[in-house]
Amino acid sequence: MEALLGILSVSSLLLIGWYWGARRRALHRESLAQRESQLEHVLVSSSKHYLGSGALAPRLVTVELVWGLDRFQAFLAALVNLFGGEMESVSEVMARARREALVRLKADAHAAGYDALANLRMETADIGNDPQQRDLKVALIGSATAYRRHPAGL
Amino acid sequence: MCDTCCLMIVVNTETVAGYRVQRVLGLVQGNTVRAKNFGRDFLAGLKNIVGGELSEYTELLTESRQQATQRMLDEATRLGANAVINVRYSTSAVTAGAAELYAYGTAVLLVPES
Repeated sequence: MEALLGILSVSSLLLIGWYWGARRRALHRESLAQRESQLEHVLVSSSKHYLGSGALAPRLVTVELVWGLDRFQAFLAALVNLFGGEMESVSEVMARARREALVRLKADAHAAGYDALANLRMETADIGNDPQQRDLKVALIGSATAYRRHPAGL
Repeated sequence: MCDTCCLMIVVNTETVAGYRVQRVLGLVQGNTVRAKNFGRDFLAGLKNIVGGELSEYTELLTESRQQATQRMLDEATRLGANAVINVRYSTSAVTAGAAELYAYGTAVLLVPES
């Protein structure tokens, strides 16, 4: 009886994760696409040297983001872990979390009157994952220097 | 974020457009180690079932970054700098459930390019 209850609770969490996770993913992709097209004019570069106009003193912009994988995706990743191969669900979440972080950086810069980002640095942060925890999450920290573009370009 | 940030130019590039480095004052740094609290952990655990942003942890990282940056800027102010260039951040997990955020950069004296 207890085993049955256990299986039921695990599978219902998987179901919730599968249904709500997919919905939330679709909504997030939609919102990302919308914000990305709004901020298209903000030029991003990972170059350390740039031609800023100097009209506005450059400023550091930063972003932090912790993103979780839903239970179902975490389950898929655990399956892949048994046989090896690409953990597609994890790759997808990491790529999407990076897009989100970049959009937030751009939005910050845009709100402060800048139109370009130089020296973009994005890395995963170590936030002390609990080894017993089954939940998968990815933490990102990013920084860039926001500046006003020089008419001559970057 | 604070008063000093508005007066001080903080960038992660080596040069600042429109300014020239007059004097290098040296390395400035700041760090903080923070632990997740139980309430936040519990909420984030629930959110993790359906995936998406775990804002409790995001906030924790944001607070850590602000604190570490503030400590770095305080040091720069003590040195008499008006800018910190080439700022870098790094993180490390000290123990399970606690993480360090470390900020470092070079304090300089900038003068506008004529």
